[in-house]
Amino acid sequence: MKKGNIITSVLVMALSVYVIVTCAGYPTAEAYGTGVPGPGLWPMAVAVCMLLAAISLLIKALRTKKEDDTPIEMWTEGTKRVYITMAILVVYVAVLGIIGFLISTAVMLFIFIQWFGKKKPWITLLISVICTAVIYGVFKFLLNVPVDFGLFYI
Amino acid sequence: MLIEVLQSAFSPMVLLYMVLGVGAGICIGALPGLTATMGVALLLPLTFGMDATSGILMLLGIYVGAIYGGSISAVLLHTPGTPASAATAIDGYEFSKRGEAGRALGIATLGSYVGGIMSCICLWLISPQLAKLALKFSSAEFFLLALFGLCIISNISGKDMAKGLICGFLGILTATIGIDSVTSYVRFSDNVNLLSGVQYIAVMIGLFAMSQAFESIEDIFSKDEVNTKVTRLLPTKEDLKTILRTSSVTGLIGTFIGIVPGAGADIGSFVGYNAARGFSKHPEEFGKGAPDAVAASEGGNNGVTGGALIPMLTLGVPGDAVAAIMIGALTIQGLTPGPMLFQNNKVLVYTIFLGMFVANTIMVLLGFSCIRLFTKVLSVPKTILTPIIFALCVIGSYAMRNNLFDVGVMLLAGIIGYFLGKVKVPTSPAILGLILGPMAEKNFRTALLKSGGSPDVFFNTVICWFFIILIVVSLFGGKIKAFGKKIIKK
Repeated sequence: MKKGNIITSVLVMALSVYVIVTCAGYPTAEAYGTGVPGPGLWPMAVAVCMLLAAISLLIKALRTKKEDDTPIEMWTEGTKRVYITMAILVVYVAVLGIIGFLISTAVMLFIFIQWFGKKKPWITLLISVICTAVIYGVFKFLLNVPVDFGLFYI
Repeated sequence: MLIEVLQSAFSPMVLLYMVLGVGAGICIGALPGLTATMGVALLLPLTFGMDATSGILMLLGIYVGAIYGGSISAVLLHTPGTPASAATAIDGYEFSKRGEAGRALGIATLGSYVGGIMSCICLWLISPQLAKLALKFSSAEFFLLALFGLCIISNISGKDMAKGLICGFLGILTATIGIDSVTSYVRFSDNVNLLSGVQYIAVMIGLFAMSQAFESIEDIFSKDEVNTKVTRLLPTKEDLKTILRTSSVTGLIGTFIGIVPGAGADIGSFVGYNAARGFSKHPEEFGKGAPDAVAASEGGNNGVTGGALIPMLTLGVPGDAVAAIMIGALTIQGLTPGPMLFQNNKVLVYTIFLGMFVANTIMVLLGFSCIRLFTKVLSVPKTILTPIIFALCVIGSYAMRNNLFDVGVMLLAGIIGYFLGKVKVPTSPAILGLILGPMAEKNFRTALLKSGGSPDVFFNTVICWFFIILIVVSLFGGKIKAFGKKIIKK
């Protein structure tokens, strides 16, 4: 937990500093002449508060004694599975616009259900095709969402 | 108007949508790993094509059903189906061990109903008055209200205040991306998809549905099995008395917790549980399967459902995460929650009130008649369900405005949400930030615009001072109390 807290606070601090620096470059109230704060004031104020919160988290984390610390399991069977899942989904979302909804979703479902469910491939194929068709049908015909995009236009 | 309200709430289509919503909600709530927020976020796209009344009432049905449905797995599996039923699991499972699962489910069903009805009554009584008051608000008051809502983050973020605050600030900053509404200046990104801001429904689907699904991947191969049989569902006379006594009180408590921005049903059920233990004649039985414990927790969490709608409808401030999604649902329908809703869409508002009663009644009827069917839902394999949730998250965030960019935003929010969960950062403050941040900023600057830059505008009215006092109390209330105790001790 200690390590996690330190990493979190450092990341948040970096983000806060980025926001503060970016906002410092935005036009100020004088530029508009209405007495209204410029576009940078609000995000900058929020970023300053966030920076303070991150600093307090960092101090607390550094003070944590080793014996009070409970490690976060970031590299177990379970979390590794999550990372692979994330990677597959990133690829899926990336190709979604190119290949189209029907084919990529059916393939995505097939990969996951086969991996998790360990059923006979043709059963998995049936499940994934039916699920994709139902989702597609409901959104396209019942809800009038244009799900037709991508190379194959389906 | 009464006839119009009755007509729209009892039209066959609306009733059908509500039955479907409540049924789906109970199933979603019953499945461990699927929460009420997730259910509402996942099924929100279904309402895009409906009219406002059907859409909102279906979402309400899902909400009410899911909060109740969580008790089914809490009792049968000792795993709360939603965080809202965590307190129910403590005593409910003891009933199952004794072979009295049916009795516990009966108490939970009726307790949820009583709690829900109490919150309906409060919704009905408080909202119109609050809306009338809110009509007097100008930008200065709305700014202070939003600020108060944001300050509450520090009180609800649990053990680690800094983490809750960080998450809230992240939400506020995310909402500032895009064109600034006052000066039209483009902030942080000139990506064309971000000019009108980050789509917060996409962020919510990511934070609450996608990241939950990632978590369930971790132990995808574990199986939950129900070994107990559900018999004798209807409560005895004695249980009935307990339920009426306990759930009505905890329902009221839940309602008030629902009104507090950001505090949701999980908090409602625990506070209700603790309160019931406080006034119970035999508190030592709590934790060992006491009927009042189950009734208290379920009354408390269903009490939140109506309570959360009160600030949402009257002020545009979400009472909890589900209410936040409903703000999105209303916005898509072209309606802005807030005092003007009570002026311009009176019929819709009162239909929502009546719909809450109807949804609760459908819930209790479905609960008593089909509970055995709902317990079957528990055997739906996660291995198939989770991939389908992925697909639904993707299409749901796409359907918002038919834009693939939002799908990417959703996935990113899901991944970030998963890691935030790993370092124990609560994600619900982000929602408050996303909704209240822009509200605070816009009204802050509009107020200054009207006053020509003079900050006096924030201290001019009684309502302003009321909010300022609330803000001070919410920030320093704990410290003031501790200081007072010290003085008294001396």
